[in-house]
Amino acid sequence: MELQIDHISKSFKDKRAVDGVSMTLTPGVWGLLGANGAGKTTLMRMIAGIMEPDAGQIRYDGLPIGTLKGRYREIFGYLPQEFGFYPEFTVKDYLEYAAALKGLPVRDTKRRIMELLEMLSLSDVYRKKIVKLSGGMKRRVGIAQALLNEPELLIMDEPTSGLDPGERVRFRNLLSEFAKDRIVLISTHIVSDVEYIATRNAVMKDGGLIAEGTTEELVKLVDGKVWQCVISAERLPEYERRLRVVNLRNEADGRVSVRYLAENAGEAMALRMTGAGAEANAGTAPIPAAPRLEDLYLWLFPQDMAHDATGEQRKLVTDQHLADSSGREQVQAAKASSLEGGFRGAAGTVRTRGQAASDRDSDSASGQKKGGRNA
Amino acid sequence: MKAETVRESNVSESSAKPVNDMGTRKRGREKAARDGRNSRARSGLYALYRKEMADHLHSGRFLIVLALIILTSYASLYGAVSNLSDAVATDSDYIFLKLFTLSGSTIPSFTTFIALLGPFVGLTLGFDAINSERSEGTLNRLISQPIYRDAVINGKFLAGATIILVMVLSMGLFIGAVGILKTGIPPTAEEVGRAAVFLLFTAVYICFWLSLSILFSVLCRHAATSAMLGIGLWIFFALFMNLVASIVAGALYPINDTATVGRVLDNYECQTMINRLSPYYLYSEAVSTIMDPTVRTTNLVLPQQLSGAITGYLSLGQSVLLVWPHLTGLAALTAVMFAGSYIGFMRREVRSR
Repeated sequence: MELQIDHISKSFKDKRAVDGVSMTLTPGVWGLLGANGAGKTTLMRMIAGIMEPDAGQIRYDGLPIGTLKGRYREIFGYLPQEFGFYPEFTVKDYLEYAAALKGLPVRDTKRRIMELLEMLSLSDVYRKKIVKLSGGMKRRVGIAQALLNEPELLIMDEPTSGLDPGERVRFRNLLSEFAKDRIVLISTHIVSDVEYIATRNAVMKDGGLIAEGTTEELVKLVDGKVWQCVISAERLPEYERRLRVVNLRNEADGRVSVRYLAENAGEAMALRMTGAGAEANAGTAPIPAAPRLEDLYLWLFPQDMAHDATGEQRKLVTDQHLADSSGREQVQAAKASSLEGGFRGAAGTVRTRGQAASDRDSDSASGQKKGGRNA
Repeated sequence: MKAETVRESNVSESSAKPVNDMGTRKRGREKAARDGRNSRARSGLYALYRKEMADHLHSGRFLIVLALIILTSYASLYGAVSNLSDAVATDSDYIFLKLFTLSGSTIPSFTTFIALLGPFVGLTLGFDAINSERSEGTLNRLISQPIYRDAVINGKFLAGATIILVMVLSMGLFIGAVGILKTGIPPTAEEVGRAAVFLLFTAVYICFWLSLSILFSVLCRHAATSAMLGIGLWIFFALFMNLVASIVAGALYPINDTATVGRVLDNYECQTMINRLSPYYLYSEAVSTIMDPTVRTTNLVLPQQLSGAITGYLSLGQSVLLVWPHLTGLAALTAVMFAGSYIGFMRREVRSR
């Protein structure tokens, strides 16, 4: 069982929403990460067959999904980002309607609905109108309808938005169990949702796929770029201005523990010894911290870090320079290769868009076919 | 289907059965799988159809329009029954049909009411059929289900058409029943036939407005826009089309004191042709012909053509023959509007809200 996404692209007027994305989904949970506007939803809608790609093809077990039509939709469940529901429907009405549309036999429908309601803690609201449910409950009703036909391929767009932490954990566990012999694709920008359960992750940016790998493989890309130190509270604004601060924690002694992203410890070391009262407020020396998927996300999407004005500006300047000189493809390739640059040894098993591009270049240059996808 | 075929062929390769037997079994299984899929798709259409029917029957706005139609039907029936004795004094034939066509002193006839208010029912049933699904974000979910995409629009049209058919039939039966009770005269077979053709015309007429409103709901993003377009067109056809036709005919074939008979005929024909572009006019003309057996033509007749003609009633078959182009025209208009909405729906990309 595999879903092959082969160089698919999609544009809306002058905006290229998805740009030549290729990947092969195999059974397991796949996390699709990316900032808002990265193209995750458009990609998912194309996988769901709601939208036709402008170029490229999506194949399920080697057959284009366009030719499978109804058969393809029978084997997948889809939870869109926006949960639309009929205001007059109760949970029961809605799930029964979805089951009827999916063509589930009537004798199995009630049993399956009850199972899912139990599983998603919705039994108490079975007869309530959906419009009266909380956001999290509505989301769970959406999840229930996606799971109704026990799909082989489950596509969920931001499934955990609106869920409280307990529900989120339960949902993650449910998905892990569900994905044993199925393909589950979850798009999210809540990194912790996929950090532990995702078999593999794909990271999208500006419509392109910039990295793909297991969580362990991906976090190695920022290995040695995550630092932490303890500083005095007075120095914090300057640190926030100069560095990409990921996390802050107030310590009992009034100082602040800072976790930040940087190519190396040098900048923080320099910062530590400069400024008024530097000697007295120097704090501890930066030490490398164990990277997490969230760190990678923030490294790749610095615009998501509200406080990092300097970093953002620096990145934009670099991007602009690269874009001016050699175009967008090279910008992405450069970003990916800069990721790999400092950590070449660790990132050997991860394939990024930059790597793929250079593979293609060297393929065409040498005329020799290289090996398949590194996994 | 191809995946099935591939899997089936894998199974077949590993099997030790004779080739012919294997082929038969494979074809049988493929057919079963195909039938299963078709049946699922059909069940999807049926589920959609049922849901739409339930939506209409429970929707407040439909119930209000239905109440309005029932009230006006009753009022027109009251008017007809009040004037029935006067009408029967001059012509005692086809009394049952007079219940539908006779107007009271101040109340229009049932046929006039339906010609005017029928479109409102069609518009009410379809003006937000697609765009409300789009704006509520339910269309996404719907078309990702294992149903054919056109099942969405087919289901909506079929549900609306069923409601219209049931409503029209119920009204016809209601008026017939009350009329029989009031007059005490049972209808003849021909009268029943004429009333049935009238009800069929009415259903097709309202279905035209349903398909038009569905078309607007496909084309317009907002339900309010599609409703306004539908209502605008309805008012135009009902009130202003005749005015436009007479202005255009007057401009093309002006009639003054010195106008020849030929010019007057041209003017009239031009006006009629333009008017017949309006479904309202087509319906009114057809219904007045069907419900009144004395109507022998829908076009202008000169006194010379009438000389020697024997006064009498047309049979039902002859009346139907006269209005056959009207019926086909109305049905064709309905089909064209539905085809437009079908194509528009199938071709238009479903985007997020």
